[in-house]
Formats: sequence, structure tokens, C-alpha cells
Amino acid sequence: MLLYYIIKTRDIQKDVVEVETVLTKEQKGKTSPRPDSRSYFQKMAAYKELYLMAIPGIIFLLLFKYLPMYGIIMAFKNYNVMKGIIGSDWVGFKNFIMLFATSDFPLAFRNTLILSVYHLSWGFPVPLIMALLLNEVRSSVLKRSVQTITYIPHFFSWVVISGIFIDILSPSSGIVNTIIQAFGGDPVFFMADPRYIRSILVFSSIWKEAGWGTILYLASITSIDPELYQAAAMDGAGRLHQTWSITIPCLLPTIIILLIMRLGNIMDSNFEQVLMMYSASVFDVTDVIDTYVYRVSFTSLQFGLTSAAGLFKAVINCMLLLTANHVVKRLGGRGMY
Amino acid sequence: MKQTQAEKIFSVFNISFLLIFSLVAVLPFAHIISKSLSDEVAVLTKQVTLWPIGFNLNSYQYVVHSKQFITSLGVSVFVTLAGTLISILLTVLAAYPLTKKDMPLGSLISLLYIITMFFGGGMIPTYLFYKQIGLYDNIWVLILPTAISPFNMILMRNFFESISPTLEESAKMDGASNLRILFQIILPLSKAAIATIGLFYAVSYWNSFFNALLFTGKRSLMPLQLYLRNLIMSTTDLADSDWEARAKVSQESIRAATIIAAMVPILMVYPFLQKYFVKGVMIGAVKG
Amino acid sequence: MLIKRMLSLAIAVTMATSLFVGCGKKVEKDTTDAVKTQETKSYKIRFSKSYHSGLEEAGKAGENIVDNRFTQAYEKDSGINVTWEFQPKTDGDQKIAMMFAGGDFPDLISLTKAQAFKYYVQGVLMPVNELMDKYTPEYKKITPKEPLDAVMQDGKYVGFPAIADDYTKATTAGIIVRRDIMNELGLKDPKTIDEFTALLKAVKEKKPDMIPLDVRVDTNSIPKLNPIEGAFGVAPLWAVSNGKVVHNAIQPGYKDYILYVKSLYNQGLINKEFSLNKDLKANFQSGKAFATIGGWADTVSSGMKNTLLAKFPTAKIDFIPYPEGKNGLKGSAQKPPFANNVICVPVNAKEKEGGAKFIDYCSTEKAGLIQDYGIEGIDYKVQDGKIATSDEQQSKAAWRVIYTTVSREGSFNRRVGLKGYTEEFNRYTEVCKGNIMPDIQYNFPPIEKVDSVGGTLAKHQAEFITKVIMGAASINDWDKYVADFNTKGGKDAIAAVNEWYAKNGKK
Repeated sequence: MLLYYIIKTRDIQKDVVEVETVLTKEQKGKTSPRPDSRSYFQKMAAYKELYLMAIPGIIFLLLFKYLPMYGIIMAFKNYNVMKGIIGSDWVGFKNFIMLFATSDFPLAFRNTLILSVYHLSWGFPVPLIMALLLNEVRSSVLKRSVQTITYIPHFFSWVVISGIFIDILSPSSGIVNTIIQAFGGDPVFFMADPRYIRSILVFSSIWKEAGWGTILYLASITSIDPELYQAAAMDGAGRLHQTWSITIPCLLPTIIILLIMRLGNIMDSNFEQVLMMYSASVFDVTDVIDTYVYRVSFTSLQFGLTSAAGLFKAVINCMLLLTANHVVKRLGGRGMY
Repeated sequence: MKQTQAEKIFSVFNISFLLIFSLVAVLPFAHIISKSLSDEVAVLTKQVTLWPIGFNLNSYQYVVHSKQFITSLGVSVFVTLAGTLISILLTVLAAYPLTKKDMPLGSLISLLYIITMFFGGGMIPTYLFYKQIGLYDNIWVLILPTAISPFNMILMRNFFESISPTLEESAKMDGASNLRILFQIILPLSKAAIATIGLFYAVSYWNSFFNALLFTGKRSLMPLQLYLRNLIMSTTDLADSDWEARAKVSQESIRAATIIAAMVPILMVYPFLQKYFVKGVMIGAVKG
Repeated sequence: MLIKRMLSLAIAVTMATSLFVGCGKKVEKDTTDAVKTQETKSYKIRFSKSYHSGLEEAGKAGENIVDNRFTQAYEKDSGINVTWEFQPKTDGDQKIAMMFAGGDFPDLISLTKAQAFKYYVQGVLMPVNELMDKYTPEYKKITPKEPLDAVMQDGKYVGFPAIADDYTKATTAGIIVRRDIMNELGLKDPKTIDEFTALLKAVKEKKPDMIPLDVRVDTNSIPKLNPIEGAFGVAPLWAVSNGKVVHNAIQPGYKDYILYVKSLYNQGLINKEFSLNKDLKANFQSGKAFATIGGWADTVSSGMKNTLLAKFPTAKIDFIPYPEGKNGLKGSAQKPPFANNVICVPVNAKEKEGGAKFIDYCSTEKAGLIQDYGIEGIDYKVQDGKIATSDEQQSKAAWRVIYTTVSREGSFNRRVGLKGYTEEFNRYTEVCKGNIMPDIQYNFPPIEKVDSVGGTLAKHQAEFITKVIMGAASINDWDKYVADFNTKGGKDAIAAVNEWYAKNGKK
């Protein structure tokens, strides 16, 4: 599917360029641009203004991000406050071993992956589809109000939302079970059931972020040249076909970037959400790396542990992102760098 | 263009679905607002569902009437406004050069940004550094460290790239400098992008409290979110031995009021930005 | 051109601002220099205290928390100028670590016991024995042996523990009930655990809409049923049996305890959703629960009184005695012998003498009066040799507790009395008399082998007990549970504690 879209995008973009080239030619009577044959350094000189523009950002990066980065070695040290990061004893991979060589860790790792993939596969398309649906609404008032309302859950903290879900799904007083009982069924304690809890986690998370996620897509849709739609309409394409062959391909760069970034988050879980919504009977399927590390390092007050866990997650996340990016570039897409 | 029969049916389903979705999103909001305006007893006995019972403004009075509330509100407003402006400016400047795919080192710079999304030095080296340059207990520590979000920067770059390159080329041929192109051509066409990224930054600044917690000590620099968090005393926070605090656990209605107070100001920003999300920004751009 | 110039200017300004950030300390200072000390031998110390909810009340009253009538009174009396700093409510650990890492050392700092030991071992804090002997005679007078022993490492005290008055008199939890319902149904206080079950059953029968016993879980997801655990002899986490230290989560008594709770669950005598319930009060306050587990402070909270009594004006909240299990065991675990704070002195503190002297001052009668009652003339007055004050005066001064450093004997009773809780407190201590089970976890210093697996073992325990109670696992897996507990680090932890006990434990 994705492959089809990428190829389609290239075709669309070629058409777009063609149309524009035609228009330009008509107006300016100039020919299409020559290939750039300047040398590396000549280019740099020509672009010097751009480099100037990039400088504040680079200074920001160096100062606020790269300067403190030596702290990463804390994962390999037994941090002692008096000795400082540099002076503390080197312990190699001891922190990592402490973290991973327990019986709880593999489970936490597995749960993290499963939840992330589950969330990705069901949750990723939702904001996109909603944005497309919203795009079809003709009344501007309706469009704007629906948008404003649906993004409200994004602002609630998980403390609040988990409370709501726990209430709704309560076996004694929750509305869902009331309905089930009205139909003659027995109440189900959803939140304590390993069969349902993952779906609850994923679903509540999707619901919370759906509205917010549409904002980006809607903004991207506004920058699609309406002449493309007009041209397609004149060729007799209906709204559905227009969406399929114009909107989606033009959104593709955004979609791909977001997908790559999501893959780069696969080891992260919604810590607050899981903490609020899990309980002892579902530890097996909901204990994730973040809650595991939290538990282990809470009593032991060791700084090395949290650094090690963070480093581990970061490495995996980064590798995934770079791989995904590479694949995209090979297929001809834009990629992140 | 007239709608076909199929399109009309689709419209109906579409609108119904969206309305249901909105309803589901608005219900919890209505519930929390009702709790914040209700009598505490009614809240605790779970009588309050979607409408206040025993309407009163006590909870909001409790939240609002301390001087610290005003101070914290001021801090948050300043940080959000100044932060968003600074962030947009820096992000735009950083993103534009990266749209030139043949600029040498461009890929490298993008990569530099991306790496920081994963790897960081951690709190202690950061703290030491801030102390050295005087950012500790300084209002700018709530803004500068998060001035550019690599995620937002890449999105911005993406937006810029979706603008037809022929526009730039025409301007170049007319002799315009890069800066001029950026400000006079690209930005006016990127209203939706700036509105979106601006919103992302604004929400992020408004909701932030962790930097304040770690890197400031003065109560005059406490942002609103931190103040509201401190206001809520729940039993789970307390040690069994802390009898004085246990006897004073916060009321549910106050908790609800703090939640609403934290959300509402920033919720009100988006409706104002919606006008930038208008299609057809590009009409006439190429022809002109 | 113009745009270019404007842009360059904007960039320059941005960069300049970030350079001058350090000089931009124009933001108002909280500390006023108005209070100057005129004494000849005066000290100036920095005291980092842990967060207290009273801070918000002080803010609401518009008071400057570093300079007000209380801080001024302390300074006048002691001759010591104190710069008060408060740690954040959450993530205090991070902040303290950062502070130390940055070479920032206050003269006094309140830490939890675990933090105190950790930083002592790392060499950040100094032992206070000498300071105690030289400068704090008052403090030594009022501090009993047990809290001091609890903060000892290799014969040295890692800090000055702040005493919790009531640990000899009260346990961590009792069984709270609706006395009015018991009276209504003609039910008497149960003596044994079986009678307790019968009590719950009777309530369920006559009041089918109520939850007989409302149960909740702690942050580790372990059900909080200490008084019931007491009946099975497994109330504290660590106990001494036959001269050796054991962990109660794997003792045979714990198995019986689990089965008992399971039987309650199966008979519908506890709330089905206990595993997700973290809130002590919700069900009891709203009148849905007949009984719950809590301490005396929970019974006097405004929520309990106002909500419950608003809906049920004849409701009466009371404690029932601890039910007795076989072997006559009953009770609940003791409270920690010191309040959660130890006041420590960093090695690099600049003014150690002043800090110690301040602690000594806080232990005096005079400081006690300020801590307990406030300022004479404003918050109370002395009539006929007795303290006279009003509720209004007290509520206006309630936030003075954020400065409370050391607790004198009787101070607790005084403060309880002021708030009008004496009756409830006395009722509770009556119930606790003779039923306080010692908990040696407060005696031993943090031991690495114990702390590194604390969370893991707690999770293991929580999982087993919850699953068995709810039927997702069988009690026949008990042996596997114990075996796994040991392999997950339990065995090493128990051995480590025994090692300590062999060297230091007595009785």
C-alpha cells in the first residue's frame, strides 16, 4: 500500500511540476532550470546567507543539547554526588545487567513492544481519517466546532482520563456493565482482565489524541493547491477519487515523517497512563519498561539505573528511526535528513 | 459543483459520525466542569454527572484568591507568549535552510537535530551548565532550553517544502535574497503552518512545569501548572504518618476546578487560529 | 534592505539576550533584607526543608514565607537568622541530587531516612555526634533512644531525627466503622476474626447496598489490611521469629491470611474492585461502605466529617478493636519512630555550629510554644496561666507548621487538642493499647541487597495475593510463589538483614 502511494506521489509531483513549468514558461518565456554544476565550495559560498540563518539553531543545539551530553556516561558509572559525573567510579555495564538480568525485564520489554505496535497499527490512521472526514464537511462552522471539541481530551491528564475510564467500566456502577446487564449478561471487570486491558489502554489513548492529531493534517491539507482539485473535477473525478489521488498523495510527506517519528518512539510508553490504569491482576500484560524501571529504581535510589534504562531505550528508538528513514529514502521519499 | 446522491448520503454519515465523536469528547469535559461548580457532598456521593448540583463558585475562589495564583498566571502567560514568539522565529530560521536539498552539510545539520530527540545528558549536567551561565532561578530557563523542538522544526521544514519551488525560483531570478524570499514569500504562504507549530509550542510552554520544578526555587517564578499541582493534596501523596495533611485532604470539587483552570486558557487559543486554516492560500500565487 | 536589517537586528537581539541572561536577575527577590540581626554573636544559616502543604496556605494568606512574624520570632529568640528554603512537592530526590551535584550545600537539610543514609555513605553528609554533644543539650534531652538508633550507621548518627510523638501510642491503621449502623442493627464489637466475619455478614444481610469492608491498595498494589494481617501474625513486613529475621510475605501465616481475605471476597464482603481502589475515603465518605481501614487522622478529615455527616446526620465514626486470630494474635504494625525527616548537616556546610544551635533552639520550650500555638498576643494569650486561643486565630496561623523542625514531647498532644481532635485520638490510642506490633524495618539502615529488590518483591507479592483472591491463580501455587520470591532477591535480602541483626539487633 505504502509503496503504491510513494510511487503515486512521485507521479503527482511530476505532474505538478509540469503544470507549473508550463505556467511559468507561459509567463516568463524562460526555459526550465539547468542542472546545478557548481563545486561543493562554490555552493557553500552561494548559500552563505542560508548558513547564517541556520546558525542560531546550531548554537542552540550545541549549547543546550550537546554540551550537557557527556552526562550519558552516567549510565556506565556508579554515580557519587561528591565525585561528580567525571569522577565517579566506572562500572561498565553493571547497571545494565542489574536492569536486564531479572525475570521481570523480558516481560516488560515484550509488553512495551506489543502495546506500541498495537497502538501504532490502530491509532496511526485515526487522526488522518478524521482529518479527511473533517475536510469533507462543507459547513465551516460545523468544521471548526467539531475540531475544537474533539481536541479537548488531549489536554486532560491521564489522572483524569483514567478515572473516567475506570468509572465507566466499573463492574458495580459503570455504565457499560449496566448496559450489559440490561441485556441479560454478567458484569465484567474489564480493567482487571488481562484479555481486555490492553485494548482499553490503546483505545483510551487513541481517543485522547485523535482530535489533536487532526490539526497537523488539516494544516497540511490547506496548503494543497486548489487548482489540482479543479483540474481533477474537470476531468470528472468525484470527491472520493479526488481524496484518493490528490489529498492523500500530497499529504504523504507529512504522513511518512510522522510514521518515522512514531517508530522512533516505539520503546516509549505512556507512563502516566499505565501507572494509573494498571493493577496487580494485569501486571503480566501491562507492565512496561517505564513502569518497571520506576519500580526498580524507586527503592534503590540509584541514578545509574535510570540513565542506563534511558540509554537503552534511546539506542533502540534511534536505530529504528534511522532504519525506517533509510527505507523511505531508498524508496524515493524525502526522509528526515 | 453539485453533490451526487452518493455524496449526500456520505455527508450525512460523515456528519453524524463526527458529531458522535465530538459528543464523546465533550462529555468528560462537561462532567469535570460540573464537578468544579458543584457542592462537595454531591460530588463525593457521585450524584454529579453532567450538570452541577448545588451550584457554587467556592472551588474557583479557592484556586484563584491567593496572590501566588496571580503571580503564577503572570509567569505562565509571559513564558507562553515570549516563548512561542521566540520559538517560531528560531524554528523558521532553522527550518528554511534545510529545505535546500543541495546545500552542503544540510543533511548533517538535520541529523544533529534528530539525534537530540533521543540522546540527552540528563538533569545533572544540564543543571550544572545552567548554573554556570546564570540560568538557574531565572525566568529564561523556562524558555530558552526548549526554544527549538526538533520535531516541530522538521514539520516546519516539511511545510516549507510543500510550497511550489517555482515561486522561489521566480523570485531568485528577480534578484531577491534568501532572507527576503523567506519573509516575503514563504512565510505569507505558510500561515497554516505557523499557526499549527505556534499552537504546538504554545501548548507546550503553557503545560510545562518540570523545568520550573528543577531549575527554579523562587516562588515568584512558579508557573501556573506547578502552582495547581501543589494545590492538590491527595491521600496517595501522603505518608501514613503525616497526620496533619491527611486530615486536610483536598476536596474533589477543588481538584476539578484546578483541572479546568489549567486547561481553559489554552483551549481558547485554537479557535482564534482556525482562520489560518483556510484552504486556497495558494490561489493566484503561481500565476501572479 | 530593510527586511534584512530588521532580521539581523532580531537575531542580534536574541543572541544578545541569551548572553545577558546571567545578568538578568531583575526578578524580585523573595528574601528581604529588612530583618537585620543586631546581636554580636549571630549566626546565619540556610535550611532546606521538605515540602509542606502549609506552604500553599501561607501563600494564600499573602504571607512572605521567608519573612513573617514566625520567622522573625524564631530569629529574635535564637539569635540565628535562617534562610528558609523548601523542596518541591514531587521529585524532591532529583532536586536534592542536583543541588549537591552543583556544589550547593545548605547548612541544614531535611531528608528522608533513605536519602540521609545514601548521601552519608557517599560522603556528602557528616556524622552529627560531635555537634550533638557540643551544641544541642536540649535536643538530647527530648530525644528518646529509639529514633536515634534508627539513624545510626556504624555508631554514628547521620543526622538529627525529628521525632514523631505518637509512635508509642498509635499504630499505622485500625478498622474504621459506622458505629451508628452497628447500634442500629444491635451488633457488638467482635473479639475474634470469626466474629469479625460474622459482623460483616450481618451488615451485608441487613444492608445489601453497602460494601461491608472497603479495601484499597497502596502504591505497590498490595492491599492495605494491616489489622487483618495482624490477626495472622504478619502485620509488619519484617519480623523476628525464633531469634532470626523473617519476611512476613512468605511466612505460613501469610498463606492463611490470603485464604481468609479470599473467603471474604467470595462472600461478597469486600469491594470487588479493591485492586484498582487507591482511595481510602471515597466509598466510606459517601456512605457506601460500612467499614474501612485507616488511621485516626483519616477519621477527622473535613471530607469524612462534612460529607458523611451531611448526608447521614446521625452517622458516627468509630474504631472497633483488633480482631484476634488463632494463637491470640492481634494488632497492627507500629508507626515509624520518627517523622519522615532527618535533619542532616552536609560536610561542606558553611555554618555547622549555627545549624546545630538552631536545632537546639527548636528543641526548647520557647520554640515549642511558637510551633504549637503561634505568637503570644496575636495567635493566643495566656489567661490564668493557661493558653487561651480561638479557632479563628488558630486557622489564621495554621501555616506555621511549615517551620516545625523538632517535636517536643506533648507537642503532638497540644496540636491535636488545638484542632479539636483529642477525643478521636484518645479513642484510637485506646484501641491500639497493647496491640502495637514492632516493625524492625525502622531499625536497620538501608541495606543495598534489600533496597535493590524492594520494588520487585512488592510487585511479586501484590500479584500473587491479588490473583489468588480474585480467582485468577490458585493458592496451591504458594510454594512456587515462595520459591520465586527467594530467587528474585528475597533470599539475599533476608540474609542481609539477618547479618545486620546478628551484629546490631537486640531483644
